[in-house]
Amino acid sequence: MRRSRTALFVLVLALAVAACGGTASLKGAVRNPPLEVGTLSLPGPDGREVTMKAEPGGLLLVYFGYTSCPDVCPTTMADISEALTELHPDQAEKVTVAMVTVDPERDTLERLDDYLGHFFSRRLPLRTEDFDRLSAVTAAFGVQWEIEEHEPGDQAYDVAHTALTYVVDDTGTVRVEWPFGFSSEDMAADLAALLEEPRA
Amino acid sequence: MKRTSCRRRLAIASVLVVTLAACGGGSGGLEVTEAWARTSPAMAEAGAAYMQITNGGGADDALVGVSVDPAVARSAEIHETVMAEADDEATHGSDMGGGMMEMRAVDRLEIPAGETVSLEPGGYHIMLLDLASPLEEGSTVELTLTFENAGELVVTAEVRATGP
Repeated sequence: MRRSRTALFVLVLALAVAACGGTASLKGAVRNPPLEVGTLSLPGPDGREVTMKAEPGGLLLVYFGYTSCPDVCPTTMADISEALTELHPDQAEKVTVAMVTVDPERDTLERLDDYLGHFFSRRLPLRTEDFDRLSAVTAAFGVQWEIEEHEPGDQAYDVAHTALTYVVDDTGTVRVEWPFGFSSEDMAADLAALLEEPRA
Repeated sequence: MKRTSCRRRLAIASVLVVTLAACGGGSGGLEVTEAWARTSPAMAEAGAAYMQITNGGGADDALVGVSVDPAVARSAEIHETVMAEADDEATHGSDMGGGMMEMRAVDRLEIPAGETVSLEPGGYHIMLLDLASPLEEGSTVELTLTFENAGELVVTAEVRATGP
C-alpha cells in the first residue's frame, strides 16, 4: 500500500511541476497571470508585420529603447549579448532580440538594424511612426515612454523609457522580465531554463 | 557652452599649471581608476564612459566639467541616469512596468573627502556627444576632468564591450 501511495505522490508532484512549467527556477520577474502579447504586431524589416511571438521552440527578447541612448540601452544590449555567449551555441541560435524604437523621428528601421547588428546576429528592428499604435503596444507590455520636448530639427533630445527586457515564448506569453542591470549570468540561466523546458 | 572661448581656455590652462605646480605632478588626492568607455555601434552618435573617482585627500572636491578631443566627440557632459516621473499628458503607455529611466545633465558631482564615487552603467556617466567615429574595442579615449579644487586631470579610458 505504502508503495502505491508513494507512487501517487510522485505522480501528483510531477503533474504539479509540469503545470508550473518549471518557472520556479527563473531569476527574473514572473507575472501571475502572465502577459500575453502574441496578438500584438509592429512593422519590421521589409515592411513585414511582426507578431510578438518567438519562432517555434525559440525565445524572443523584446526591448523598448532608442539608438541615441548612450547609457541604459547599450548597457542592456551588451548584457544580453554577453548572456548569449554564455549559452550553448545551439541554444543561443534560438534567441532573437527585438528592439522597438520609442524614437521613430531619429531611428529609421535601417539605423535600428545597424544598432542591433553591433550586438546580435539574430535581431529584429521594429518601428512605427503611428504613436497610437506604438502606445497600444507599449501599454500592453506595461512600458512607458516620453519624448523630451524639442524644437523641430533639434536632434539632441532625450527619451525617457521603461528599461525592462521581456522574454516572450513561441505562444506569445511573456515568460520572464528582466529589470535594468540584471546580470548576464542570470539572463543566461533564465534563457537556458526556458529553452530546456519540456515541450508540451 | 558648446564653444570654448580663448579666455576660458587660457583660464583652464593656467588652472592646470597651478594644479601641476601645487601637486608636483602627483594626484592631489584624487585618483581615477577603472576608466572605460563602451564600444559604440557604427551608426551611434552617443557614447558613454565610466570610472571610479577616489578622493584620498582631506578636503571635499567636486567634478565640475569634462572635455574630450574633438577628434573623438564634439563634446562630453556629466550625466546621471535616474528614474523619471511620469507626466499624465506627455507619457505614453502604462505604468505597470515599474517606471521609466531618463538622463539628466549634472553640473557638479560631489567627490567627498575619503570617498569613492562610481560612474557606472545606469548611474553617473560621462556622455560623449556626436562621436566623430565609432568607439572600437581596444582603443582608448582621453578625457580631461575638471575638479573644483584639484583642477584638471587627464584620464585614459579603455574602450571595451563590457565593464571591467
